[in-house]
Amino acid sequence: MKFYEIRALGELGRVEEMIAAFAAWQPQLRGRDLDLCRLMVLAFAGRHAGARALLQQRLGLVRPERAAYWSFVAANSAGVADGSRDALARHARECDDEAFRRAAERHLAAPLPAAAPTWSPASAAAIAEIERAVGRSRAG
Amino acid sequence: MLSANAAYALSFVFSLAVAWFFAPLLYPHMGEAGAPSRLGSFATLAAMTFSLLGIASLAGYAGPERTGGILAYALTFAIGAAALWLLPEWSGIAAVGALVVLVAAPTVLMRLAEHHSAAGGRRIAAVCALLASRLHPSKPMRFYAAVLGARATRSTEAEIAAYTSLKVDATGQLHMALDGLIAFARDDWIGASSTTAAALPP
Repeated sequence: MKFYEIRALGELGRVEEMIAAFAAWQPQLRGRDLDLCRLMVLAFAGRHAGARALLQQRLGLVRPERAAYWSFVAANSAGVADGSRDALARHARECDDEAFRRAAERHLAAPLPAAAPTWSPASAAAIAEIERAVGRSRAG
Repeated sequence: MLSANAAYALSFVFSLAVAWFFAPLLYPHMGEAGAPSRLGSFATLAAMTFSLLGIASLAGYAGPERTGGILAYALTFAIGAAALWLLPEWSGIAAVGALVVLVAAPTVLMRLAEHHSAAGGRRIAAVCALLASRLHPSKPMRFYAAVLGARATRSTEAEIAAYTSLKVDATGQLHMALDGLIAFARDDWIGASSTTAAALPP
């Protein structure tokens, strides 16, 4: 349920709230669940380098279409246009999971933000802590 | 604090040690004519000790699988004890077989289901959870398997219909969790946020 709540806040664009919810729940999360929540926070916060590092290392188990989804969310949230759009568009066309396709198409239709997002000091600190934890301290 | 896997491994090693050192006390007939082989006796005693440790660890656990888990361990212990006296030559196979079928296989299958579910492999997750719930048909296991089965359906309408049918028997947090999953399936994040926020403790 925590996973869904964090994702819901991110999908709704309430990223500061999502980061606060993650920070509050982090002590109760472990292992893979913790890494998945970290991935969502990094992706919706636009930290695409950290999200990609997490997907390539600790979350290497994530299937390619889901990895493409989170890579695109991270890049798009950061205002970066990269190859992740094409990858997600291809997966959305080929995937037979209706829910995934619908979510992917919604993100693909969203406009690229004009500038990279800025965060409150508390959120920036929480993001930095996640990046330290996943071994990426540099900005996405 | 120990992880669940580490606790299982430690319990297993401890059970082997107990069976090894205390076998003559626990089963004085070992080695006698008509009694099971030393290996069979050792395996049976280890399985029974592991079951007792499992029951003891679950006794202080408040999760949904408490009763079902205790029953599985108790059944394993009972099968081991009965086999030791009724089918002594086969007791090792019976006790270890019961431990594998009633405890180990459902645990491993459920871990696999969680693993694949987290990775986005919905169909294989549903298959693993279904097999686990067949071996360990407790209410929480059947519910979890049904939820993963619903998530594995290809059409949103079928997925929502499956969740709706599960809501009939669900109460409290489970009911709200199913509402959240329905909203999630519809890509309705406002609904998902409000239902999950209501279902989660503050």
